[in-house]
Amino acid sequence: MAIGNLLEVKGLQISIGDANVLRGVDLAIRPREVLGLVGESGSGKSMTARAIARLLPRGARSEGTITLGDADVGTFEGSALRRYRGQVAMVFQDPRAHINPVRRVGDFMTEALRTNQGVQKAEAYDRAADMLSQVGLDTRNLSRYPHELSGGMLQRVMIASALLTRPRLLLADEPSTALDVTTQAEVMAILAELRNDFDMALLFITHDLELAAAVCDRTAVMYAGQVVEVRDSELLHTDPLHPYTAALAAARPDIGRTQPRLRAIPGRPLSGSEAPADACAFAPRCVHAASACGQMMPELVELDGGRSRCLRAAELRGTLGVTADA
Amino acid sequence: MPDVLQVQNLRKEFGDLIAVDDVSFAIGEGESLAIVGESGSGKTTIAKMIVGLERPTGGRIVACGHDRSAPVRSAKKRRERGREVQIVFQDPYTSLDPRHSAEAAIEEVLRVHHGWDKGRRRARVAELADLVGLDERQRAVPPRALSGGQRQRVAIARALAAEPRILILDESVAALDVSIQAQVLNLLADIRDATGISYLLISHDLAVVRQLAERVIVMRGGAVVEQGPTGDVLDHPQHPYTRLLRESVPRPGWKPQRRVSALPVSDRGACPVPVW
Amino acid sequence: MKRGLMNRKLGAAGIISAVVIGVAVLAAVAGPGLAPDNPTLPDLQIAWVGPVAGHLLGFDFEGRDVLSRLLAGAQSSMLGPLVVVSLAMAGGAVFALTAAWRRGAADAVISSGMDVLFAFPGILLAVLATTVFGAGLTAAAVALAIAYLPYVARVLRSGALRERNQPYVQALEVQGASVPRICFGHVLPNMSRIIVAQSTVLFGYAMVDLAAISFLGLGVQPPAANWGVMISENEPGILQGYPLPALAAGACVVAVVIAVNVLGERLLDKAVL
Repeated sequence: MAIGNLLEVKGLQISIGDANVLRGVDLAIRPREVLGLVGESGSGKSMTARAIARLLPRGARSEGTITLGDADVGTFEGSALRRYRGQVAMVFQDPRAHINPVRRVGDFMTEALRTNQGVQKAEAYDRAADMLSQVGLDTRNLSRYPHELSGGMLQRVMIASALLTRPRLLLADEPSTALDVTTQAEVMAILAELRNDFDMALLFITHDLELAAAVCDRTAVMYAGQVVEVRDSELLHTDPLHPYTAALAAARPDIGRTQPRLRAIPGRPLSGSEAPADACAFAPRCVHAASACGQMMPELVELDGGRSRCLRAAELRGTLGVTADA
Repeated sequence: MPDVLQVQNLRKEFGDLIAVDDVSFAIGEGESLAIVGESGSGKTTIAKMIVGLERPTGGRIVACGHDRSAPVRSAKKRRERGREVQIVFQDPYTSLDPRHSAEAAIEEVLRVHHGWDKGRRRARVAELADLVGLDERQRAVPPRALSGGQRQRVAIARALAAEPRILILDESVAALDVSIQAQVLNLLADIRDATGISYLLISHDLAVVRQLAERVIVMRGGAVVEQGPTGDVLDHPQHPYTRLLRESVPRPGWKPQRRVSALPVSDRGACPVPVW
Repeated sequence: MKRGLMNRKLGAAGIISAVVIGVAVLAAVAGPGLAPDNPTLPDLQIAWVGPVAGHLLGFDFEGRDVLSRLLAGAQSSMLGPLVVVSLAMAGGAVFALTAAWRRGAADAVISSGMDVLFAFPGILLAVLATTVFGAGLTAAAVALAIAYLPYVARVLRSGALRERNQPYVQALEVQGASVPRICFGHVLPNMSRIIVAQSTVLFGYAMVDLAAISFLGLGVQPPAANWGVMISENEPGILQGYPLPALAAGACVVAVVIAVNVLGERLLDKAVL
């Protein structure tokens, strides 16, 4: 475990049934860092978060390691696992699907505290009320039912609940995707504040490259069950290290101008199980592909402070950025 | 050139809730208009009223010169209207009958509208499938064997089978991956170039609106707050809400702010926007 | 290969159920011809005689070969529930689709009507029907179908409502497809899972209810063979130490009801439908 890393994922591979959902994920999150995880359908970004949260579906087989500090997360059971859940919390995309509609908000929020940590009811409610106001909600919401709250408010309840155990790492799986764009901005602002106040790291999963680039310190890009690039966010658009990142950024319409034609990527995103084992998964859709790309699986190599899973990464350095193509 | 769609003083109330409040706009031939707003803005309700899935409380809708201010029951009238305005929905997973292949779905529409023989129908199905970029395999399999983007192509082909003058795109690309969204947006532009069809684009995504629509209407709480050419409205927003929307779009250097209070509610008593 | 596919989809329980139903259907179709002995001719001298060679299940209270009578009775025993289920499902579907499609006043009227029907237990209606129209399978079956209507309509209505609100149905409406085309070409087929599930459950209830009605003497009339009648007429034998005829008939009813339910469940489980 490299010095200073809060959580490390090494060589993570996950298969469910016949499907190779993750084919090699390597990530490191530093304390208080906001790491973005960006990908399209089939990239495996949600499965990575679930693996870290020990929420894999039954029957999933995994290889590789996930370490928190010095401990292998995969070996935790019983009380060690419960303690772990207090240190690594998760927030999901659709808050309504993850809260019991027939229980009050306060019940939901205090449940983990009371059952896992043996906190007394009164104190648990106090803590919940305090956390609600931190996320900008009225404490009267504790006695409301989920259907009385809007999507944005409910997502803030989920964030508040996740933070009750003062986790060191918060996994947020598309937390704002289902929300209006103005609400999304609000939720992002709250997460940023809370990260500072609570000294917390954040793994922020999204399909939105612009959002990740704007709010994350570093961003990892996934494709077909693998990490294909890790980069400082401010360099993600101007100097990406992988053709997929560049293509993804270029495919997006520009709010500032109407393009004669969008630069679409031909074909469609592959999932891990459709990808070949001995070639670059993105090669068939890549404008920079060479013959070698179809003959061997590229490794994730260090480059200029970031990482890239591209055989031609060093060669293409500096030519992939948005500005270079105008 | 007469407008293909005119909406005048459109209004919809659900009990006490005013979902759409005095909305008026027009779309000319070959033009594309976007309606932008967040949840509760009324934009989807407007789309539903135009295609006849919702009954307006007040106002007038005229498409291709025919009044369609109230929904009609009879299949014949619905068919006639179906040849003027069609719609593509947001969710690719529920907008196709799970038991019918693309070929079957498109052919059914042709059977509803025309008394053609099988050969002619098949030929037209092939034409439409080509137009939207569906290969032979994709035409023949049930929707569950297709990706989201492919299903949306089927939905577009099915809508176009009726040869409408106006196509309403109700968040039709919102559920698609970025790389697929780009393909579908290009496809929609190509179709517009080839057929001169008009689009009414309902979207929350300002970048998509910029790419596809020449004019935009911004809605909040059922009322229009701003409208004009897309470039003007997005580059120089006048209304505070439009400015807020514009500010909420992530970009390099973006610092999201917590809002201390909500924007002032429209003083015409339109539905209140919750204070966060 | 095909056998393997069936195995994986249906499982052991499913296959056994299919076999049981197959046998019952075969008996229903060819029963009277398959019966080794005359199923209705009494011979009181051999009443209640237990199993002997050539007569595996012995003789009933009138000295008739039980096995033959079971085989002969399969027809009315299977046909009755089939008629009940067909009528109830068809009627329920019509009401459900109408209520779901038109909503508003039509829905309110239909739902209230169903509420009224709910108040009548099936057996009561069957008794009323047979007193008015005379005893026999037809009156009882129709009465049961009417009694089951509200249950079917309620379940199908929720399914129909759900399909009706799906975008693909709305797309067809906007296209101008006619209501029958949408309902029969799209809504009903997509409700096939609910329909099968409901039908299998209903078959079980109908079989038991019809057996009970025959037991009461209101359904199939003796000396016609029918499993329910057989339970009734051989019931005194249970207390006298000759349980086999009644129990054999009862076992047939139970076996078919379970088989239908299990098979239906397996079919739904494995998404064969």
